[in-house]
Amino acid sequence: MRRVVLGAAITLLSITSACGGGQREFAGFVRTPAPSSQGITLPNVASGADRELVAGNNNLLVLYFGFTNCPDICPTTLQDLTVALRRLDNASHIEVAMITVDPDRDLEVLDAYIKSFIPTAEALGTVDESALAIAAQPFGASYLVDDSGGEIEVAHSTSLYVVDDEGTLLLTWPFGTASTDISADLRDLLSGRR
Amino acid sequence: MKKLLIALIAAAAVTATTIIVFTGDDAISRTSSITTLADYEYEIPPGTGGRTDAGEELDIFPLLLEVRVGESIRIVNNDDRDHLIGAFFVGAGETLTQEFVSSGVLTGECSIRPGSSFTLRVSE
Repeated sequence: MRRVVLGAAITLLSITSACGGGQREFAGFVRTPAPSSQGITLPNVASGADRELVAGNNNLLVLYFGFTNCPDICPTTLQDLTVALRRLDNASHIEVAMITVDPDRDLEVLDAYIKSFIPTAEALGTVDESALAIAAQPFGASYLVDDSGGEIEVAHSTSLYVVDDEGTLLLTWPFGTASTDISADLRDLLSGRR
Repeated sequence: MKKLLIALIAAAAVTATTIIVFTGDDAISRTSSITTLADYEYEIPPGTGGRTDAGEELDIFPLLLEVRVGESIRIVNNDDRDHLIGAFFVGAGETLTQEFVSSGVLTGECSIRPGSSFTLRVSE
């Protein structure tokens, strides 16, 4: 009888221990129901091939809307992402694509620009305004290119987005999210946590 | 003794059931976004976009929200429009959830209060 009681007590203890470890929360924010970018494509500016905004099988795709003349936000964000990827053992499962919101100036240079941060990243862009708007919609990404004052001014949303192999938006990282937090989130996502 | 044993096993079973519900990977994200109360809860009610268009000043969000690491926010957008609340984009009909894991300051425009911004300050 004592053994049975002890067994029940051990069961309780082990269940409690399993729960007590806790699980870190995502640093990125979660939108429910999650929007999807499945079926949405943009041209790869280097190859011209259409790229669907979904990750490869069992991979994750990190997307960023920006422009190469950005003086601060874009390089900072891309540098943070670069550092975050370096911290991962399985970074080969993370795909990265930068989408230009300033295609008139960027289509020729975007590929080299993004690859200077992340050599495996893809550069996506189009002068088709409606195609860009369709691509931005699920993420809530916004942008405005204003050249009315003689000088080109670009405003854009500054978040990073990560989608899975079905195009489901898993997390959004606001500008300034620490690279350690991004890499921790990616590690958790790659382990299957949702 | 037998009664005690049955009670213990029953308690273990109930505990196990409860813990499984709250520790499964899927269960965690779903319960945290649907049933668990966040520290800061906001609702964007239906008609908010229209009322903003009409020039009404809505006091749904503060200009500055100061929170601590470990606390959480949930924004339920019951409007038929997307809204931007500082760094948070919340689509129409969506719920946004986030627990703050690091300190920092996030500032961005607020679609509910045109011309002003929403700042979130997270401290340790």
